Amino acid sequence: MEMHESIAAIQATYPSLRDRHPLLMASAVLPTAPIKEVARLVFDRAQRFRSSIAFWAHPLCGKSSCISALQKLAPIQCPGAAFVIYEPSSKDVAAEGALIEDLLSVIDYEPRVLRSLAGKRDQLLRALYAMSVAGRHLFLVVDEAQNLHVKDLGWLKRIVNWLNTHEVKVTVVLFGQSQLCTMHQQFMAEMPDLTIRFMAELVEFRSLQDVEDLRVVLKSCDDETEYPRGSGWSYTQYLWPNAHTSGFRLARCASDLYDAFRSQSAGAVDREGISMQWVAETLMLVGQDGEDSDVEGMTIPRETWERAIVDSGYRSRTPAALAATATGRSRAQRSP
Amino acid sequence: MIAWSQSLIDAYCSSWTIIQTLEWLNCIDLKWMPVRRDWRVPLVRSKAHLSEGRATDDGPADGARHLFDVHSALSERCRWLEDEALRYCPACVQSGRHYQYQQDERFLRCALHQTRLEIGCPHCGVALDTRGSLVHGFTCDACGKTLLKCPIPGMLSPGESVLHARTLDELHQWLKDANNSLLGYQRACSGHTSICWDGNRADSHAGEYWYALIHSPNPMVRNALAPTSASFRQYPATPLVIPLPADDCEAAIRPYQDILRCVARQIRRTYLRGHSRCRIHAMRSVGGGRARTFSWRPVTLKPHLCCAGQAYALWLLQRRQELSSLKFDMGVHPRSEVPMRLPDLHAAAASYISSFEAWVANLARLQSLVPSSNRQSMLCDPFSYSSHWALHQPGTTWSCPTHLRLDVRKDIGLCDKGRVQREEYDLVRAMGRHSERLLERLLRSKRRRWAAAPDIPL
Repeated sequence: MEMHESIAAIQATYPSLRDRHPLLMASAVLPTAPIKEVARLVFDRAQRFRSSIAFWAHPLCGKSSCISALQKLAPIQCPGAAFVIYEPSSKDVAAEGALIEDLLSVIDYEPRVLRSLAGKRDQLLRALYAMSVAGRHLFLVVDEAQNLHVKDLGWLKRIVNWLNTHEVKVTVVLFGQSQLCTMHQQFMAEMPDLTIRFMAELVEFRSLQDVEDLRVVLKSCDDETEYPRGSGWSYTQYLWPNAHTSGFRLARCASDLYDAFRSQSAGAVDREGISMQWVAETLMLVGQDGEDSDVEGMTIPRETWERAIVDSGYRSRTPAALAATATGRSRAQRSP
Repeated sequence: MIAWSQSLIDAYCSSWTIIQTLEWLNCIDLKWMPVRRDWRVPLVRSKAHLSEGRATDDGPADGARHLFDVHSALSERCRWLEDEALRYCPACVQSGRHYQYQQDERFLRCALHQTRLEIGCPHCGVALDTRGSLVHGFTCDACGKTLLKCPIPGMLSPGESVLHARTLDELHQWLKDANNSLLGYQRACSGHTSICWDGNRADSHAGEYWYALIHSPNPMVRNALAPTSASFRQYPATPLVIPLPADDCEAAIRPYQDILRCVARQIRRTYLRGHSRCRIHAMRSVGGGRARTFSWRPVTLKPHLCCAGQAYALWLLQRRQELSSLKFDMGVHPRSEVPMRLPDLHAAAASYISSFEAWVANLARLQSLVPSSNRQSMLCDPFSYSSHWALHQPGTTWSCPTHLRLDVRKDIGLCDKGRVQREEYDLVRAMGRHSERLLERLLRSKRRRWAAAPDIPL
């Protein structure tokens, strides 16, 4: 009886909330094995007064999701710590004023920014101090770090030093693409101090390697997630309430999904693994049909996964969402 | 967001500290708006306002993030300050701290550091105020030097901050207990009245805390308090056993005479501002000045003239007569067995103010009854007129119903002659200044022309 009520309650929210489900928007932040590894490394380094670590990865590996996950974990691991995510834009000439203004903009700084460089610098330093003083810890995460100029690192070093002087721990985490490796070697020759300061460790942010990695992702959809917030319903339960009641779990589909990827990848899965983006796109497409296929005793056959993988544009190196936009094809019009 | 952290302030630091810390963190200057009685925060997209008022659920209307936290901190009563010169402890201010109790003139020294409290910029001596108009982000506008010694305001070592917190807790608990124990027989209609009229002046409240120290000794407070005469012992906190010796009568009445003088001065400066001519005229016609001998004769009222000035004269006359008769009563055997009590000075001051307001209200009512064409004088007996609330009251009920009922009647004076005269006077002065400027400009231009002109050959 209670289960039926729960199913009815879930289905009652579909008109307003279903479209915004993180799986259906391919925006879910899931605790994958690589993300857990990154989090372990970052929070291990964060014990030190001044630390840095850099991660490089191929595009669409889920770096941004990883940063979101770190942002969620930071208040739990380091209460009161400030978390600033900076994404530098690609530029030919570096300017300290522009960097400071970017950082002020990133933290959504509302007071009027002073005109003088010294004034701007003071504003930034004091704002970062105010943000981090409660927990005496600042996480500065730089996304797309390959866009950083060597001078930017020098200016960031000054900020880190100032905060350290005032007893604030600073943990700098760089996320970048494969160019970060080249940059690391180049900087090591030119500016070893900066390289040691910001890229003391350069670690690859790996994609999903095997069926176990994939099972972790799918299991998190079954158990560790919640939508809507505070409802107590997992992602799987929300999308397939009837099936979930009769024991359906996405984690059991991990082998089928992995095999489907292998069959579609022409061996690439064994070499590169599976980028999180494709898993998210596939889950999105399967989830879109969830409302129709949600019955007791439901299973998702391997053919469905394969079709979703094909429709997601896997191996065409263009995410399905972009491809759909470019060709004018609506996701809802997916061929049966 | 604006840069702000609750960690940089403590539980008792004043609104001045909060505003200065906010300015320092954001490198901005907050502007004090005297009319709105709040600070304007310059933001990029909007202007937010911060005040020492009650924090609302939705925070400041302009809704910048973190401003709500600042507003909540400012809304705590223990942080509020009056508009006055900033009185600070040099050691506290060097670490970016200032406390409400430091504005209390009864304190001579800082309770935390035992250093003497000071006024004015420590570098250039220019006057500083509690609204931070002349200091922004702990930097004096006049000399450009910072008041801070540490690099970041509010940064204390953990041991120091724990010690300070404990001391301040103890101090505030003592102050709370002392103020509660000093509550008088009559409770004023609002706490604001006494603050408004007396403030924390050393002369009006001197000795109260010394009196409280007798009941709850505290070495820290004793070391910080300003020395005061032993006269605080004469506060009539207990029923008087009459008859008293003549000297004791004099000593018991003297604080009330002082408070009457203080209230009269305050009334002249506030209620009767612009009514000085009315007051002088009424004092001559009604009496009430020092020269007047108290004879039980009726006085002359002129309903067509200013009721504020006449009310003042009548009020003063009645109050002086009351003090005089009270002194006499204390020296003779009581007519009844009821013990004699006097209110404390807070209650007396509040009563004096409201009795003046009652006089103004009565005269205004009289004015409204008499036709405006009437230029006749009327006779009034202020002595038999029931006093609003006498100092000497038998029994155990010490609350004054009239006092509690009356609102503040600052605008009740129906006379505008004083104001008109003041405006005329200002106009004449302005015209005088204008003509002086014109004359000066004319002379300057002539001098320039003479200087430019070629020498005239003789």
